[in-house]
Amino acid sequence: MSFKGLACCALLLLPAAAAAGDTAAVLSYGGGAYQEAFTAFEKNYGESVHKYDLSSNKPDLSEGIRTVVVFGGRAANLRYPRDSDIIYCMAPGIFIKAPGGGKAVKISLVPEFSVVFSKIKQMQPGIGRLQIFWMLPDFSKYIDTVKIEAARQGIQVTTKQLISMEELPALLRLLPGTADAFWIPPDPMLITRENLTIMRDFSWANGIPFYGSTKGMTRDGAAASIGVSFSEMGKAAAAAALELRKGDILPETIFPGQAEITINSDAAAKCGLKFPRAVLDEAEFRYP
Amino acid sequence: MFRLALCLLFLAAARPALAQRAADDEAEFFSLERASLEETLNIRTSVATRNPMKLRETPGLVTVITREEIQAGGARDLIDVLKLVPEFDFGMDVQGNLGLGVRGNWANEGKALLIWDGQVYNETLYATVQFDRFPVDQIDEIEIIRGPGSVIYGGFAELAVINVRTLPAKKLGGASAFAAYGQGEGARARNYAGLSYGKDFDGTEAAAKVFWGEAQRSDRRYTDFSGLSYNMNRTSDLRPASVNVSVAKSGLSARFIQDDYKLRDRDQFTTALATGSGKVGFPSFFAETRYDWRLSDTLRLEPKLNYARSMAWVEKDEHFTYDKKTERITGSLTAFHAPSDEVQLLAGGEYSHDAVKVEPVTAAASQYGSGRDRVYYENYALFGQATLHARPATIVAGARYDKHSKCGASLVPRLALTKQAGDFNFKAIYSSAFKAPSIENIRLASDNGFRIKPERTTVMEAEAGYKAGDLFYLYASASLTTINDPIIFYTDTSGNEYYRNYDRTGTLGYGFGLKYKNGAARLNADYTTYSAAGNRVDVYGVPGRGSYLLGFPRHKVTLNSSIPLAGALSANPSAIYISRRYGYAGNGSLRVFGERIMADFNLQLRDRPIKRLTLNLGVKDIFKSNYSYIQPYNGGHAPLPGPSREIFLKAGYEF
Repeated sequence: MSFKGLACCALLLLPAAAAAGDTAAVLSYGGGAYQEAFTAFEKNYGESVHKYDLSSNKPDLSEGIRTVVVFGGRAANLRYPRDSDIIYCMAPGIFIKAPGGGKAVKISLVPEFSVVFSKIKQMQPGIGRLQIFWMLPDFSKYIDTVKIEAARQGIQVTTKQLISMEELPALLRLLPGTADAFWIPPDPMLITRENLTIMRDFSWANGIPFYGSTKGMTRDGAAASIGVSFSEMGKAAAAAALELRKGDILPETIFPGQAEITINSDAAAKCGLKFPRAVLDEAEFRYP
Repeated sequence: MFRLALCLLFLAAARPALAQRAADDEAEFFSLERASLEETLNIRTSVATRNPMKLRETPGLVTVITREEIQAGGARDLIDVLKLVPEFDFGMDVQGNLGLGVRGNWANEGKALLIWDGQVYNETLYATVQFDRFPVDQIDEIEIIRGPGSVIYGGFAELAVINVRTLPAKKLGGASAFAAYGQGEGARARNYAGLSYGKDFDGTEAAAKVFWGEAQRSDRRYTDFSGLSYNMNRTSDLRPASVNVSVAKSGLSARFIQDDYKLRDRDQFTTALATGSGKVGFPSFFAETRYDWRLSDTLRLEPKLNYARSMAWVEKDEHFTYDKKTERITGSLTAFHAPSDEVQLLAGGEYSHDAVKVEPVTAAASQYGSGRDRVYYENYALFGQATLHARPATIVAGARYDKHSKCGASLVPRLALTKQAGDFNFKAIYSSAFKAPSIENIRLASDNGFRIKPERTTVMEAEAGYKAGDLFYLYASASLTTINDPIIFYTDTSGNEYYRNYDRTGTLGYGFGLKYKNGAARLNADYTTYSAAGNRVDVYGVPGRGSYLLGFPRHKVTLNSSIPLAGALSANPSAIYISRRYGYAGNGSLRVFGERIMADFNLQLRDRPIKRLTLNLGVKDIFKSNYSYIQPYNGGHAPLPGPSREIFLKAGYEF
């Protein structure tokens, strides 16, 4: 390559190098799911990004930072430079707020609701009534969309926001005769080991399928889950960051495109469900 | 081919391991996100309203103490836990028993309610609580209202409510055991052990907890006002033992507790025993059945039936005889109605029947003057509370009407305004409360021709808090407590003993504090100060020092922290500073007890050297404060020495 060619390449690369310095990632904790999402983010972003791990140090972000990608609620709760764009990833329950002149988007922990309910309908063709329980105030703003998308699948949705976890057993006891299944979104306030046991035991004892939104919920007794992997969330965050850099306008919530289906055949059998072949083939994880 | 087979074998083995690791990462993610969301300030507590609310909005000055905090601090007993609450202090009563002070006010007989797994542990003869009897390692969480709670909880909740819940069956999820040993400077201080089992059997939750312990109040020297002196080693035994069994299914639950607590005392009431020691027992049995009846999405009923049988203060030895058996049956029905997200309503009724049987062996002075050996009382109560989450503020208004068959009626209202605005929160609370006369209060009053009536208390409280960033929370609070008609024990010049209503007492207090939490590291630092306000009870006052009340310091600083070290090791220092206190020193003279610093240090190691094992090694009272419990009234009892510096070792294992 001639000297001119090298010079042109260098000039072309300079903005990219500058842009890499414009982006930072802040992780609530350094390992586990947060690292998995960040790794996928960095790979799909195409550039190396400076990473801050709150469990060991506090980020020192200058006003020149253009994009901050936060992973987890703890990172989401920090204050960031006024004009930075913020992408909230893996932060259920956090109300997003644009710091000043920047934009803010949130990556959903579930795929589009249309996908969720179409999959549930595929798994349980006879479903007519679905109960949804949640605790996080943040989820309230999706309720209208949830009802509309479910109705498109012929599913009538009833929703109930719990004030405390102690309400769960009594609310479950009201389901027989009023719901054909119940669904739990990815709600850290509600998803505890004890509550999953309560939901599983109720579901199996009463033959009312319980649908979750994460792999772990299905392992712990849900008939199936329709969710998004942490890698897919990171990938969606990368796409959002690139689009924001181009100046695109994005919706407040971005739903990752690729759903992750997990099924539990034993749990399904206890609820009288037999998954069609298409569902079995599509599932990425099968329990037991 | 062999290599290919080996690779396939490896992948087949690795896949479940990878799936398991992914599932563990997910569980960890939800756990961490939940902690982030709940964080210390937004833990939901239901103690002040019976409906869960965020801590910063709940209409009371509430403290929640978690199991993690209790265990990390290496608490030996409930006194170790409660002494770190800024508003609480402990004083000496009689016969080796300690009582609680709340905001500088003596709260021993029926002014502070202690609930253990739903059972009221205030015995009904004198309404006292024996704080040494509780297995602190069974505790899951403690919710404390640092102020009145009579509207919801009735006549023992005049100044504070301490609501303790032990580990439920689901959290136990199997068997666990704990054992502890403490060595004081002069003698063994304590040893205790416990075994718990709990599990969910396809919807039926069952748990059983057994506890046994022996300790002693002190191994230091006690000297009464006459100069008689003895070593408290082997003369101040404390022996708790309990069995706690519960079962629950489909909203119906039942619980049974057999609690057999004994102590040995030589200090008695005023002059100590020249030889020997007395053995005092507090055997108790509790039974409860309750049903959580969900009528609809918005309406829930809770019928409950409680039975308590006790022989508090039983003593049958050559020094004193006292044998009175009490029974209390309580039936209640509470309705919870939440017609909307903004409105919550609570209403209920309660009926209780008290019976006391005086055994012939009881000393004559403790018998009924009329010669009766059985007495019965009844109490009816109606209560209600409304919570409105309005845009300007959350408003809680409630009232309780209580009618005692002997002592008449009490009507106590409460009004609270709480507001959370961004990082700030504010609370303003007006509470009226009462203390119902206990069985012995009534006897000793009526046998001497007095008519005794309930105490009436009004408390005004305010708190402001500010969440300074992600890690810090600051607060400041103030309270004015006025107790009218306090029921106080009195001995006249002829030696007659009785209870009667006095004029008025109370305190004015302020405080501020800081909470810091960063992952596993935390620090709580608090300062509180009280001064007597309108005190006209001479037995509580300090002559010449109008701002003091006997027995309690005017200034208190508490520090409680946890510092994660390498691996699973944490260091947990705590310290309490108290300013000077006043107590009597014989001959009717007053004595100043200088300021003290009581510092503890505990090392905790979790999941090492084996998983599910927790080890604690600590030193209590590192600087040898020589702390003594002072009697907060002029009752003729010398200050009782507390424990000496102690090395404490505890191990817990989950099977």
